[in-house]
Amino acid sequence: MISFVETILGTVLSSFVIVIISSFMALMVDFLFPSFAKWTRMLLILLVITVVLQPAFEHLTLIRDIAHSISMMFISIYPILTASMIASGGAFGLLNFQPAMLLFANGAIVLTERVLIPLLTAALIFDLASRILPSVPFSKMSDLIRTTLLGAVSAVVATYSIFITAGGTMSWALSGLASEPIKELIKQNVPLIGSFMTESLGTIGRYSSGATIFAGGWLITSIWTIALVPSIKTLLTAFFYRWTAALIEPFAQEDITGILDDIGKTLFVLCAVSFLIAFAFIYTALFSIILVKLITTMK
Amino acid sequence: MVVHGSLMFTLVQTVVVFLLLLVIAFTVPKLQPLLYVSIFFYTLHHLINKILFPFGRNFVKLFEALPDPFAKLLIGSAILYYISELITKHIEDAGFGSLAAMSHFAVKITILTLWLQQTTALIEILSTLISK
Repeated sequence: MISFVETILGTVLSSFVIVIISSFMALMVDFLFPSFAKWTRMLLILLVITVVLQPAFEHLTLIRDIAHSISMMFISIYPILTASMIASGGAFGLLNFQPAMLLFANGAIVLTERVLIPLLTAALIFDLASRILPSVPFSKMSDLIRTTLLGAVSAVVATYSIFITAGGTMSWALSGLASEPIKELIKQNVPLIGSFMTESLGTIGRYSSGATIFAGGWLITSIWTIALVPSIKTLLTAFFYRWTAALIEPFAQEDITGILDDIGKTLFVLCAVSFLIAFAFIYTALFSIILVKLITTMK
Repeated sequence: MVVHGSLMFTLVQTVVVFLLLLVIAFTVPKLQPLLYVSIFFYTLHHLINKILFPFGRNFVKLFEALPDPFAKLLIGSAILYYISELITKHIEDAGFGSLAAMSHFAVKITILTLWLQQTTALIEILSTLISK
Protein backbone atom coordinates (compact mmCIF):
# COMPACT_ATOMS: atom_id res chain seq x y z
CA MET A 1 0.00 0.00 0.00
CA ILE A 2 2.74 2.46 0.98
CA SER A 3 4.88 1.63 -2.03
CA PHE A 4 1.97 2.13 -4.36
CA VAL A 5 1.27 5.56 -2.88
CA GLU A 6 4.96 6.33 -3.33
CA THR A 7 4.84 5.33 -6.98
CA ILE A 8 1.93 7.67 -7.63
CA LEU A 9 3.64 10.39 -5.63
CA GLY A 10 6.78 9.86 -7.68
CA THR A 11 5.19 10.11 -11.11
CA VAL A 12 2.74 12.86 -10.29
CA LEU A 13 5.14 14.87 -8.14
CA SER A 14 7.75 14.86 -10.88
CA SER A 15 5.13 16.24 -13.26
CA PHE A 16 4.32 18.80 -10.53
CA VAL A 17 7.92 19.97 -10.60
CA ILE A 18 8.04 19.93 -14.39
CA VAL A 19 4.99 22.18 -14.62
CA ILE A 20 6.42 24.63 -12.12
CA ILE A 21 9.86 24.81 -13.75
CA SER A 22 8.47 25.04 -17.24
CA SER A 23 6.16 27.90 -16.31
CA PHE A 24 9.21 29.75 -14.96
CA MET A 25 10.97 29.02 -18.23
CA ALA A 26 8.03 30.37 -20.20
CA LEU A 27 8.01 33.50 -18.03
CA MET A 28 11.68 34.15 -18.84
CA VAL A 29 11.24 33.55 -22.55
CA ASP A 30 8.17 35.79 -22.60
CA PHE A 31 10.19 38.57 -21.01
CA LEU A 32 13.04 38.22 -23.52
CA PHE A 33 11.10 37.58 -26.69
CA PRO A 34 7.63 39.07 -26.33
CA SER A 35 6.88 38.63 -30.02
CA PHE A 36 7.24 34.87 -29.55
CA ALA A 37 4.73 34.73 -26.67
CA LYS A 38 1.98 32.98 -28.61
CA TRP A 39 4.27 30.11 -29.49
CA THR A 40 5.84 29.92 -26.05
CA ARG A 41 2.36 29.22 -24.76
CA MET A 42 1.86 26.60 -27.46
CA LEU A 43 5.08 24.81 -26.59
CA LEU A 44 4.16 24.92 -22.92
CA ILE A 45 0.81 23.30 -23.68
CA LEU A 46 2.62 20.71 -25.79
CA LEU A 47 4.93 19.94 -22.86
CA VAL A 48 2.04 19.71 -20.42
CA ILE A 49 0.04 17.37 -22.63
CA THR A 50 2.87 15.04 -23.64
CA VAL A 51 4.67 14.81 -20.29
CA VAL A 52 2.49 15.96 -17.41
CA LEU A 53 -0.81 14.47 -18.46
CA GLN A 54 0.76 11.07 -19.10
CA PRO A 55 -0.41 9.65 -15.70
CA ALA A 56 -3.96 10.82 -16.39
CA PHE A 57 -4.02 9.20 -19.81
CA GLU A 58 -2.51 6.06 -18.36
CA HIS A 59 -5.32 5.89 -15.81
CA LEU A 60 -7.92 6.35 -18.49
CA THR A 61 -6.49 3.54 -20.59
CA LEU A 62 -6.03 1.40 -17.46
CA ILE A 63 -9.67 1.70 -16.45
CA ARG A 64 -10.73 1.15 -20.04
CA ASP A 65 -8.70 -2.05 -20.25
CA ILE A 66 -10.02 -3.28 -16.91
CA ALA A 67 -13.59 -2.60 -18.02
CA HIS A 68 -12.96 -4.46 -21.24
CA SER A 69 -11.43 -7.53 -19.63
CA ILE A 70 -14.07 -7.70 -16.88
CA SER A 71 -16.91 -7.44 -19.36
CA MET A 72 -15.31 -10.24 -21.39
CA MET A 73 -14.97 -12.29 -18.20
CA PHE A 74 -18.62 -11.73 -17.35
CA ILE A 75 -19.81 -12.78 -20.74
CA SER A 76 -17.84 -16.00 -20.53
CA ILE A 77 -18.62 -16.80 -16.89
CA TYR A 78 -22.31 -15.88 -16.83
CA PRO A 79 -23.71 -19.09 -18.40
CA ILE A 80 -21.66 -21.24 -16.01
CA LEU A 81 -22.82 -19.27 -12.99
CA THR A 82 -26.50 -19.45 -13.93
CA ALA A 83 -26.24 -23.12 -14.79
CA SER A 84 -24.67 -23.95 -11.45
CA MET A 85 -27.24 -21.77 -9.68
CA ILE A 86 -29.99 -23.86 -11.22
CA ALA A 87 -28.09 -27.04 -10.36
CA SER A 88 -27.71 -26.08 -6.72
CA GLY A 89 -31.45 -25.68 -6.44
CA GLY A 90 -32.97 -24.02 -3.43
CA ALA A 91 -29.70 -23.40 -1.60
CA PHE A 92 -29.55 -19.85 -2.90
CA GLY A 93 -32.99 -19.00 -1.64
CA LEU A 94 -31.40 -18.86 1.80
CA LEU A 95 -29.22 -15.95 0.85
CA ASN A 96 -31.65 -13.93 -1.19
CA PHE A 97 -29.28 -13.99 -4.10
CA GLN A 98 -30.83 -12.47 -7.12
CA PRO A 99 -29.72 -13.66 -10.53
CA ALA A 100 -31.10 -10.44 -11.97
CA MET A 101 -28.51 -8.51 -10.04
CA LEU A 102 -25.68 -10.45 -11.63
CA LEU A 103 -27.11 -9.60 -15.01
CA PHE A 104 -27.43 -6.01 -13.89
CA ALA A 105 -23.79 -5.84 -12.80
CA ASN A 106 -22.80 -7.26 -16.15
CA GLY A 107 -24.95 -4.66 -17.89
CA ALA A 108 -23.35 -1.87 -15.88
CA ILE A 109 -19.90 -2.97 -17.01
CA VAL A 110 -20.96 -3.16 -20.64
CA LEU A 111 -22.49 0.31 -20.29
CA THR A 112 -19.23 1.56 -18.77
CA GLU A 113 -17.11 0.07 -21.49
CA ARG A 114 -19.28 1.07 -24.43
CA VAL A 115 -20.69 4.43 -23.36
CA LEU A 116 -19.30 5.98 -20.19
CA ILE A 117 -15.57 5.71 -20.84
CA PRO A 118 -15.74 6.85 -24.48
CA LEU A 119 -17.85 9.80 -23.34
CA LEU A 120 -15.30 10.61 -20.66
CA THR A 121 -12.51 10.48 -23.25
CA ALA A 122 -14.57 12.84 -25.38
CA ALA A 123 -14.87 15.24 -22.42
CA LEU A 124 -11.11 15.11 -21.94
CA ILE A 125 -10.44 15.83 -25.59
CA PHE A 126 -13.00 18.65 -25.61
CA ASP A 127 -11.17 20.18 -22.65
CA LEU A 128 -7.80 19.96 -24.36
CA ALA A 129 -9.20 21.32 -27.61
CA SER A 130 -10.82 24.30 -25.94
CA ARG A 131 -7.54 25.09 -24.15
CA ILE A 132 -5.40 24.76 -27.27
CA LEU A 133 -7.80 26.87 -29.33
CA PRO A 134 -9.40 29.31 -26.89
CA SER A 135 -11.44 30.88 -29.68
CA VAL A 136 -13.34 27.61 -30.20
CA PRO A 137 -14.33 26.67 -26.65
CA PHE A 138 -16.01 23.38 -25.81
CA SER A 139 -15.75 23.83 -22.06
CA LYS A 140 -19.53 23.89 -21.48
CA MET A 141 -19.84 20.73 -23.55
CA SER A 142 -17.28 18.85 -21.49
CA ASP A 143 -18.87 20.09 -18.25
CA LEU A 144 -22.21 18.84 -19.49
CA ILE A 145 -20.74 15.44 -20.34
CA ARG A 146 -19.12 15.17 -16.92
CA THR A 147 -22.29 16.01 -14.99
CA THR A 148 -24.34 13.64 -17.17
CA LEU A 149 -21.88 10.84 -16.56
CA LEU A 150 -21.93 11.45 -12.84
CA GLY A 151 -25.73 11.35 -12.93
CA ALA A 152 -25.72 8.07 -14.86
CA VAL A 153 -23.25 6.46 -12.48
CA SER A 154 -25.21 7.60 -9.42
CA ALA A 155 -28.41 6.21 -10.93
CA VAL A 156 -26.78 2.83 -11.49
CA VAL A 157 -25.49 2.73 -7.92
CA ALA A 158 -28.91 3.75 -6.59
CA THR A 159 -30.40 0.82 -8.49
CA TYR A 160 -27.85 -1.47 -6.89
CA SER A 161 -28.88 -0.36 -3.44
CA ILE A 162 -32.53 -0.98 -4.36
CA PHE A 163 -31.60 -4.52 -5.34
CA ILE A 164 -29.75 -5.09 -2.11
CA THR A 165 -32.36 -3.65 0.24
CA ALA A 166 -35.05 -5.58 -1.63
CA GLY A 167 -32.96 -8.68 -0.92
CA GLY A 168 -33.49 -7.91 2.75
CA THR A 169 -31.23 -9.87 5.05
CA MET A 170 -27.96 -8.00 4.52
CA SER A 171 -26.97 -5.09 6.67
CA TRP A 172 -23.65 -3.41 7.09
CA ALA A 173 -22.11 -3.58 10.53
CA LEU A 174 -20.12 -0.39 9.92
CA SER A 175 -23.08 1.64 8.75
CA GLY A 176 -23.97 2.47 12.33
CA LEU A 177 -22.95 5.51 14.32
CA ALA A 178 -19.22 4.72 14.19
CA SER A 179 -18.75 5.43 10.50
CA GLU A 180 -20.93 8.56 10.31
CA PRO A 181 -18.12 11.09 10.94
CA ILE A 182 -15.85 9.41 8.35
CA LYS A 183 -18.65 9.48 5.81
CA GLU A 184 -19.27 13.13 6.53
CA LEU A 185 -15.56 13.87 6.17
CA ILE A 186 -15.37 12.20 2.76
CA LYS A 187 -18.59 13.87 1.66
CA GLN A 188 -17.26 17.30 2.55
CA ASN A 189 -13.74 16.99 1.24
CA VAL A 190 -13.79 15.05 -2.00
CA PRO A 191 -15.05 17.44 -4.66
CA LEU A 192 -17.77 16.36 -7.08
CA ILE A 193 -18.02 12.72 -6.10
CA GLY A 194 -17.70 12.76 -2.30
CA SER A 195 -21.29 11.92 -1.40
CA PHE A 196 -21.41 9.45 -4.25
CA MET A 197 -18.36 7.66 -2.86
CA THR A 198 -19.80 7.26 0.62
CA GLU A 199 -23.10 6.00 -0.78
CA SER A 200 -21.55 3.42 -3.08
CA LEU A 201 -19.06 2.26 -0.46
CA GLY A 202 -21.96 1.86 1.94
CA THR A 203 -23.82 -0.19 -0.64
CA ILE A 204 -20.90 -2.50 -1.31
CA GLY A 205 -20.30 -2.76 2.40
CA ARG A 206 -23.88 -3.75 3.12
CA TYR A 207 -23.61 -6.43 0.53
CA SER A 208 -20.28 -7.90 1.53
CA SER A 209 -21.03 -8.00 5.24
CA GLY A 210 -23.81 -10.41 4.42
CA ALA A 211 -21.31 -12.58 2.61
CA THR A 212 -18.65 -12.44 5.33
CA ILE A 213 -20.34 -15.32 7.11
CA PHE A 214 -19.64 -17.53 4.14
CA ALA A 215 -16.37 -16.27 2.76
CA GLY A 216 -14.38 -15.14 5.78
CA GLY A 217 -13.09 -11.68 6.60
CA TRP A 218 -9.65 -11.91 5.01
CA LEU A 219 -10.94 -13.05 1.67
CA ILE A 220 -13.47 -10.22 1.62
CA THR A 221 -10.75 -7.73 2.54
CA SER A 222 -8.48 -8.93 -0.24
CA ILE A 223 -11.27 -8.79 -2.80
CA TRP A 224 -12.08 -5.27 -1.68
CA THR A 225 -8.47 -4.22 -1.97
CA ILE A 226 -8.02 -5.68 -5.44
CA ALA A 227 -11.25 -4.13 -6.65
CA LEU A 228 -10.63 -0.70 -5.19
CA VAL A 229 -6.93 -0.18 -5.94
CA PRO A 230 -7.51 1.34 -9.42
CA SER A 231 -10.21 3.63 -8.03
CA ILE A 232 -8.05 4.85 -5.16
CA LYS A 233 -5.10 5.40 -7.50
CA THR A 234 -7.27 7.45 -9.81
CA LEU A 235 -8.62 9.46 -6.89
CA LEU A 236 -5.14 10.26 -5.58
CA THR A 237 -3.93 11.29 -9.03
CA ALA A 238 -6.95 13.55 -9.47
CA PHE A 239 -6.16 15.24 -6.16
CA PHE A 240 -2.55 15.77 -7.19
CA TYR A 241 -3.60 17.48 -10.41
CA ARG A 242 -5.89 19.85 -8.59
CA TRP A 243 -3.22 20.62 -6.02
CA THR A 244 -0.71 21.34 -8.77
CA ALA A 245 -3.19 23.66 -10.42
CA ALA A 246 -3.71 25.51 -7.14
CA LEU A 247 0.02 25.72 -6.50
CA ILE A 248 1.07 27.16 -9.85
CA GLU A 249 -1.85 29.53 -10.26
CA PRO A 250 0.02 32.71 -9.19
CA PHE A 251 2.68 32.58 -11.86
CA ALA A 252 1.51 30.23 -14.61
CA GLN A 253 -0.72 31.11 -17.49
CA GLU A 254 -4.40 30.56 -17.05
CA ASP A 255 -4.42 27.90 -19.77
CA ILE A 256 -2.06 25.60 -17.93
CA THR A 257 -3.84 25.80 -14.58
CA GLY A 258 -7.14 25.38 -16.43
CA ILE A 259 -5.95 22.23 -18.18
CA LEU A 260 -4.73 20.70 -14.92
CA ASP A 261 -7.95 21.61 -13.13
CA ASP A 262 -10.12 20.14 -15.87
CA ILE A 263 -8.07 16.97 -15.97
CA GLY A 264 -8.50 16.68 -12.21
CA LYS A 265 -12.29 16.96 -12.57
CA THR A 266 -12.33 14.37 -15.36
CA LEU A 267 -10.29 12.01 -13.21
CA PHE A 268 -12.79 12.39 -10.35
CA VAL A 269 -15.55 11.28 -12.69
CA LEU A 270 -13.30 8.46 -13.91
CA CYS A 271 -12.94 7.40 -10.28
CA ALA A 272 -16.74 7.32 -9.96
CA VAL A 273 -16.97 5.21 -13.10
CA SER A 274 -14.33 2.84 -11.80
CA PHE A 275 -16.46 2.31 -8.69
CA LEU A 276 -19.07 0.71 -10.93
CA ILE A 277 -16.45 -1.73 -12.19
CA ALA A 278 -15.21 -2.38 -8.66
CA PHE A 279 -18.73 -3.07 -7.50
CA ALA A 280 -19.42 -5.55 -10.27
CA PHE A 281 -16.09 -7.23 -9.64
CA ILE A 282 -16.75 -7.56 -5.91
CA TYR A 283 -20.22 -8.87 -6.54
CA THR A 284 -19.12 -11.50 -9.02
CA ALA A 285 -16.15 -12.59 -6.94
CA LEU A 286 -18.27 -13.04 -3.81
CA PHE A 287 -20.94 -14.77 -5.80
CA SER A 288 -18.48 -17.27 -7.23
CA ILE A 289 -16.88 -17.88 -3.85
CA ILE A 290 -20.20 -18.56 -2.18
CA LEU A 291 -21.28 -20.75 -5.05
CA VAL A 292 -18.14 -22.87 -4.80
CA LYS A 293 -18.53 -23.06 -1.04
CA LEU A 294 -22.14 -24.17 -1.28
CA ILE A 295 -21.33 -26.82 -3.85
CA THR A 296 -18.42 -28.19 -1.83
CA THR A 297 -20.36 -28.28 1.45
CA MET A 298 -23.36 -29.96 -0.14
CA LYS A 299 -21.29 -32.91 -1.29
CA MET B 1 31.32 38.00 -14.63
CA VAL B 2 32.29 36.98 -18.14
CA VAL B 3 28.83 37.86 -19.36
CA HIS B 4 29.02 41.13 -17.47
CA GLY B 5 32.32 42.12 -19.14
CA SER B 6 31.16 41.18 -22.60
CA LEU B 7 27.92 43.05 -21.98
CA MET B 8 29.79 46.27 -21.20
CA PHE B 9 31.96 45.71 -24.24
CA THR B 10 28.91 45.22 -26.45
CA LEU B 11 27.22 48.35 -25.15
CA VAL B 12 30.34 50.42 -25.81
CA GLN B 13 30.59 48.79 -29.20
CA THR B 14 27.00 49.71 -30.00
CA VAL B 15 27.69 53.33 -29.17
CA VAL B 16 30.82 53.26 -31.35
CA VAL B 17 28.88 51.66 -34.22
CA PHE B 18 26.20 54.29 -33.83
CA LEU B 19 28.75 57.10 -34.00
CA LEU B 20 30.44 55.44 -36.98
CA LEU B 21 27.11 55.25 -38.80
CA LEU B 22 26.45 58.91 -38.08
CA VAL B 23 29.87 59.82 -39.47
CA ILE B 24 29.26 57.70 -42.58
CA ALA B 25 25.85 59.29 -43.09
CA PHE B 26 27.51 62.69 -42.89
CA THR B 27 30.54 62.06 -45.09
CA VAL B 28 29.52 59.47 -47.71
CA PRO B 29 25.70 59.46 -47.83
CA LYS B 30 25.71 57.49 -51.08
CA LEU B 31 27.58 54.56 -49.59
CA GLN B 32 25.54 54.63 -46.36
CA PRO B 33 23.10 51.70 -47.11
CA LEU B 34 25.93 49.37 -48.09
CA LEU B 35 28.08 50.22 -45.11
CA TYR B 36 25.07 50.10 -42.80
CA VAL B 37 24.26 46.54 -43.90
CA SER B 38 27.81 45.30 -43.39
CA ILE B 39 28.18 46.98 -40.01
CA PHE B 40 24.75 45.71 -38.95
CA PHE B 41 25.57 42.13 -39.77
CA TYR B 42 28.97 42.37 -38.14
CA THR B 43 27.38 43.68 -34.94
CA LEU B 44 24.67 41.04 -35.05
CA HIS B 45 27.29 38.34 -35.43
CA HIS B 46 29.16 39.70 -32.47
CA LEU B 47 26.00 39.93 -30.36
CA ILE B 48 25.05 36.36 -31.15
CA ASN B 49 28.49 34.99 -30.37
CA LYS B 50 29.16 36.96 -27.22
CA ILE B 51 25.75 37.21 -25.59
CA LEU B 52 23.05 35.06 -27.14
CA PHE B 53 24.92 31.77 -27.33
CA PRO B 54 26.33 31.87 -23.79
CA PHE B 55 22.89 32.83 -22.54
CA GLY B 56 21.29 30.00 -24.48
CA ARG B 57 23.74 27.49 -23.03
CA ASN B 58 23.13 28.81 -19.52
CA PHE B 59 19.41 28.68 -20.09
CA VAL B 60 19.51 25.06 -21.22
CA LYS B 61 21.70 24.17 -18.24
CA LEU B 62 19.32 25.99 -15.90
CA PHE B 63 16.35 23.97 -17.09
CA GLU B 64 18.13 20.64 -17.29
CA ALA B 65 15.47 19.12 -15.02
CA LEU B 66 12.87 19.33 -17.75
CA PRO B 67 12.44 16.42 -20.18
CA ASP B 68 15.15 16.69 -22.76
CA PRO B 69 14.27 18.56 -25.93
CA PHE B 70 11.83 21.09 -24.51
CA ALA B 71 14.14 23.72 -22.99
CA LYS B 72 16.50 23.56 -25.98
CA LEU B 73 13.61 23.68 -28.38
CA LEU B 74 11.96 26.64 -26.73
CA ILE B 75 15.05 28.83 -26.37
CA GLY B 76 16.38 27.76 -29.77
CA SER B 77 13.22 28.56 -31.65
CA ALA B 78 12.69 31.81 -29.73
CA ILE B 79 16.24 33.00 -30.58
CA LEU B 80 15.84 31.90 -34.18
CA TYR B 81 12.56 33.78 -34.43
CA TYR B 82 14.04 36.89 -32.85
CA ILE B 83 17.07 36.98 -35.18
CA SER B 84 14.88 36.37 -38.18
CA GLU B 85 12.66 39.24 -37.09
CA LEU B 86 15.67 41.54 -36.77
CA ILE B 87 16.98 40.66 -40.21
CA THR B 88 13.51 40.95 -41.72
CA LYS B 89 13.12 44.39 -40.26
CA HIS B 90 16.51 45.38 -41.60
CA ILE B 91 15.74 44.20 -45.12
CA GLU B 92 12.37 45.90 -44.95
CA ASP B 93 14.00 49.19 -43.92
CA ALA B 94 16.22 48.93 -46.98
CA GLY B 95 13.05 48.79 -49.03
CA PHE B 96 12.80 45.10 -50.01
CA GLY B 97 9.60 44.14 -48.21
CA SER B 98 8.75 41.01 -50.19
CA LEU B 99 12.24 39.53 -49.76
CA ALA B 100 11.95 40.16 -46.02
CA ALA B 101 8.60 38.38 -45.88
CA MET B 102 10.06 35.45 -47.77
CA SER B 103 13.03 34.98 -45.44
CA HIS B 104 10.79 35.24 -42.39
CA PHE B 105 8.47 32.61 -43.84
CA ALA B 106 11.39 30.25 -44.45
CA VAL B 107 12.57 30.64 -40.85
CA LYS B 108 9.06 30.01 -39.55
CA ILE B 109 8.90 26.77 -41.50
CA THR B 110 12.29 25.78 -40.05
CA ILE B 111 11.00 26.40 -36.52
CA LEU B 112 7.91 24.28 -37.16
CA THR B 113 10.14 21.51 -38.52
CA LEU B 114 12.10 21.59 -35.28
CA TRP B 115 8.88 20.92 -33.39
CA LEU B 116 7.71 18.21 -35.72
CA GLN B 117 8.77 15.33 -33.47
CA GLN B 118 6.97 16.75 -30.42
CA THR B 119 3.85 17.45 -32.43
CA THR B 120 3.87 13.88 -33.74
CA ALA B 121 4.12 12.58 -30.17
CA LEU B 122 1.16 14.75 -29.14
CA ILE B 123 -0.98 13.53 -32.02
CA GLU B 124 -0.04 9.93 -31.25
CA ILE B 125 -1.08 10.30 -27.60
CA LEU B 126 -4.40 11.85 -28.51
CA SER B 127 -5.11 9.22 -31.15
CA THR B 128 -4.36 6.33 -28.77
CA LEU B 129 -7.02 7.85 -26.50
CA ILE B 130 -9.56 7.85 -29.28
CA SER B 131 -8.87 4.52 -30.96
CA LYS B 132 -8.93 1.17 -29.21
